[in-house]
Amino acid sequence: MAKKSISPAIFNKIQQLSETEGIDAQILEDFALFVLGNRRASKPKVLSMGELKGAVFAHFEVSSTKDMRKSGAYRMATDGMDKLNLRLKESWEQLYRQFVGILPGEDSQVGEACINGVDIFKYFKPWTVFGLDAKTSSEQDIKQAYRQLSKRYHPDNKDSGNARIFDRINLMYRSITAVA
Amino acid sequence: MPRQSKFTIKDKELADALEISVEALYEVIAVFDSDPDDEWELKEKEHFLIDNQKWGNRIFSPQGAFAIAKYLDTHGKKSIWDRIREFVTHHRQKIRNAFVQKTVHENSSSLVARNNRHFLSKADTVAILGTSYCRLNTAFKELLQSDSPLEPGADYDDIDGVRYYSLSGLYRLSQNLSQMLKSKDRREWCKAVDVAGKATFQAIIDAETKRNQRIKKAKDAAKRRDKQTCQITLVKRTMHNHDFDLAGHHIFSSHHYPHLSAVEDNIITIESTVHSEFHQWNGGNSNACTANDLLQFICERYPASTKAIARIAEVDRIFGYTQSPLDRAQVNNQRISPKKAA
Repeated sequence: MAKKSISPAIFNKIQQLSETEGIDAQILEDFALFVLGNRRASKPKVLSMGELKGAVFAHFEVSSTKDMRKSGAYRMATDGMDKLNLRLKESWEQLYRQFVGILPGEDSQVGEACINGVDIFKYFKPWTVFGLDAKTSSEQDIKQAYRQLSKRYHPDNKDSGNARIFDRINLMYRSITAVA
Repeated sequence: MPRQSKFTIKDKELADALEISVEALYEVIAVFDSDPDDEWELKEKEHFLIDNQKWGNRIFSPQGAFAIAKYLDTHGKKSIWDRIREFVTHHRQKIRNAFVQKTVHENSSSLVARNNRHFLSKADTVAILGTSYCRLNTAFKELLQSDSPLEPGADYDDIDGVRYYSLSGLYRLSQNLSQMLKSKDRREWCKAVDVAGKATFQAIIDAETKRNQRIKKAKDAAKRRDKQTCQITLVKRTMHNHDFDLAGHHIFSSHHYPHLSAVEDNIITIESTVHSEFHQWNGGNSNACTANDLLQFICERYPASTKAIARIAEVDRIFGYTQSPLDRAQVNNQRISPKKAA
């Protein structure tokens, strides 16, 4: 029953914790279901189109969609992005994620593409994904976190490997170890 | 290529642009110079140079001009009419942005398209943001330690071992600098790069696209003129022999002689293999080539091509006097700074 309701990533984590920490897997599954059940109970507030627009306008210091389209800052910031249809809410959500922050309800997501509560294909948040503090983490900490994630998502790992996630993790690793 | 001097705006030109008298301009400058501890500063060799030591006339960089325009906008007394006009036309803002646009135009030679994005070299990024390599590195590090670091491939990339920043990367860097820099005029400059940048880059990209279209048109016309025949080997494309490519070769290389790049007479049709052979002989595609180089190559490798020799000698007679703008810039630069030449 439990296996059907929780994502494969959580299930793998449960198996891993069960093996390394010696905790009964059933207890962990029950706990995961309890947490998920409570999350479902308190549905996060979804931003309206107006609220999304307001936040994005504030970021680009404009007061309308027309002004934003003309704004040099907007055009520079979105250079290379797929053309956005600004009549659709999902386009505004994409802009919000890219330039404002994490959308309400997307701060502790679960699912195959989610690591540490972040959907790695919707957000580029390497420090959160690596579970590190940007200000205090050493080069060694970064390498260690990277190794752990690589081990789990490397395509050669038959249980939890995923080439797409592995590539994204590599990109994130490059971004936090880069030099100007 | 040596960088041109950034001090190009004379005091009279600046005063005219700002719609004040030269005397009023120097009064504003006196305010800048009077209090070294306030947030407004004009630094010699960064914002201006003394053009005339005897009279103290100054010549300004776009950053210097921008700082004065911004100061006037903040402190200048405006009549109701001026305020209405500013409100309706953003007149002063346009003047400030024009100085930024000038800097963008002067420092966009490295602009390249890659993966549907536009990238600028680090050197050009530093020049456009009016900052130093060291400060740009700091901004990069600050962003790296932020919640959303710059993304490799999207915000920056290394092209042939050289760091390039995309327009979205430039936006993030300018945003960081416009918040973190100490000096107000530098912060405002970086903010204005956001505002004026993309439109200017778009104009440059459009001009480049049009130039490429003109070159393609000239090459097609040259191939038609040469009857789809290699002018060196005289091999013609026919229904029995069409498994080879013909190249439109710039006798005076298009990169070094851009003014001749879309001139049909400067293009000769040759087989692609011969084209590659010539550029290898000449030391690589990035080396400048002239009619004289092609003549020497034909004499060495294809001495029987008498028609081609005659034709290129004719082109040399027409365009041989021409000088590459890159060489001209070098000469000008030597004139400006004789010490460098020594």
